[in-house]
Amino acid sequence: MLKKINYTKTLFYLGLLAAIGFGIFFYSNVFGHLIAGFVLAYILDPLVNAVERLRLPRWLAVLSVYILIIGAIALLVVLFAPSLYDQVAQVVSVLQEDRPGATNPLVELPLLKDLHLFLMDLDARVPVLDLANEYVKLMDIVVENLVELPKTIMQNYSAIIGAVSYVGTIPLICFYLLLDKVRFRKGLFSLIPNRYFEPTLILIDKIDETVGKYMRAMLFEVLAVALMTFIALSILGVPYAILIGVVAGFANIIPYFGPFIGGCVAVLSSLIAGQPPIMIIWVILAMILVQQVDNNLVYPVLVGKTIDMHPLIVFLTVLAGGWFGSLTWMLISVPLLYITYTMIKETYLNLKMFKLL
Amino acid sequence: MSLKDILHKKVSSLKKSERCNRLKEFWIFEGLSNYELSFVDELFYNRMYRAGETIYEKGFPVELVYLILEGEVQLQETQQSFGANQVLDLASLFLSDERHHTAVALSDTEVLAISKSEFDCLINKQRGLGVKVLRNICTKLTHIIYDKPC
Repeated sequence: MLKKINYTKTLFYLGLLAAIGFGIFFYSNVFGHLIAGFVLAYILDPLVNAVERLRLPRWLAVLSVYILIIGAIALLVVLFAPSLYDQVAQVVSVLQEDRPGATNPLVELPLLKDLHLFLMDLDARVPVLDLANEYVKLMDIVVENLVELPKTIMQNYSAIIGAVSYVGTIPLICFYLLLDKVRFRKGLFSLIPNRYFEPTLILIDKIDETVGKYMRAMLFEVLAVALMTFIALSILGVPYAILIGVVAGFANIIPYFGPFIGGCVAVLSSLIAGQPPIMIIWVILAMILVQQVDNNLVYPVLVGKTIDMHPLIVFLTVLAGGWFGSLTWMLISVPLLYITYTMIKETYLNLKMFKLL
Repeated sequence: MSLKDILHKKVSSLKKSERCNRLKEFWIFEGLSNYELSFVDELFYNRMYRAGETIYEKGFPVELVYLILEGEVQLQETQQSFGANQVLDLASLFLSDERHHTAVALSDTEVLAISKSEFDCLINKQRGLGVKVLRNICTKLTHIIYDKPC
């Protein structure tokens, strides 16, 4: 016997589906904001919980953490921003400088100059080669691109304003997510059927423990490496130490290859400053020392164990991140892979334990 | 703030105090202040089970402890029944273990479920609350050991 179709029910579900579809379309542009706000809230949550433990209401705990962070950022800006700005301006001015008689500012740098002289010597012996001229042309292209950088930034000011507004809205989203964490959590869990309720709760807790710990550790590691690099290079007298520290800190997100990038930037900076070749060895030793402290002290204390990922997988992931998007994707691709892997592993184990698989 | 908002806020705060009074009926929360109960209340998830529905199964990992608001639940292995205002699988709140029984709702049942890890976090935040809960459990154990009614 054919089952009678409940038209009211069908119509209701169709309407609901249309509403959800329209909702996804309408809010599609702010999904990125929401995810970024969620990640920030996730990082700050333990701090808010710690403040809440002082018998403060949740809203006051969130507000206190915000004031604390704004204060810390303001302090960092006051302390380091002028020097950082000077260092960036110096790098740009070195590249833009007009020197009479000089073919290219880069060719005047110690090692590059030696290479130029070597090529000129080679040309003198074998005139057909003309390698020195080709070398200067190549350096001209590099300088042209570097000098055009501020212009490019100015031309894309609307995109930059967009990025600033993006950054501005995230703390607001994060504030509400932190404030009403329990309400959001309860609301989401109320949608889960009884059979899956307890497994989901365990799964979320496990993911929260591993992923949350990893993300917070990563943030702290970026700060620690940036600070250690800045101190080590400042002691050696390497210029642009703050700039290199910031680059090394962020590059450190990429396992295996990140520290190498930081080291290259430090060596290049020493070369640009025209420091003696022996300084390169000192800079390399300083960067190795920073990495040793990070690998053997900072990371084990924060995370407990290193990410057991093959260098080839890391390399391919970073490469794929570069093809997929921008520099940001190259930086976040490895952490994203680790988080996805952890989530899949925990979900599989949990479903097995509850005999759902 | 409009009059509607003020009324809404009043009604929700009244509902919250109602829920706190409901929690006081469970022996485990005896002696807790309304302030402390509001923290506990935040952690509870309201769940409804139909008659015959399994609440948890033997051998499964433990994360939730259930407080029965309405209805009847039976442990299949021991045939022991639990009714309103009773706590289901309380030992699991403090012991990391697997379920030793299968619990099935005998009638339509409304429960409050509390997560072990979230309760641990709350005790870390509100030490006084933890001491009161521990005292209530000790009293209950004393009654069980000396076979006194409670």
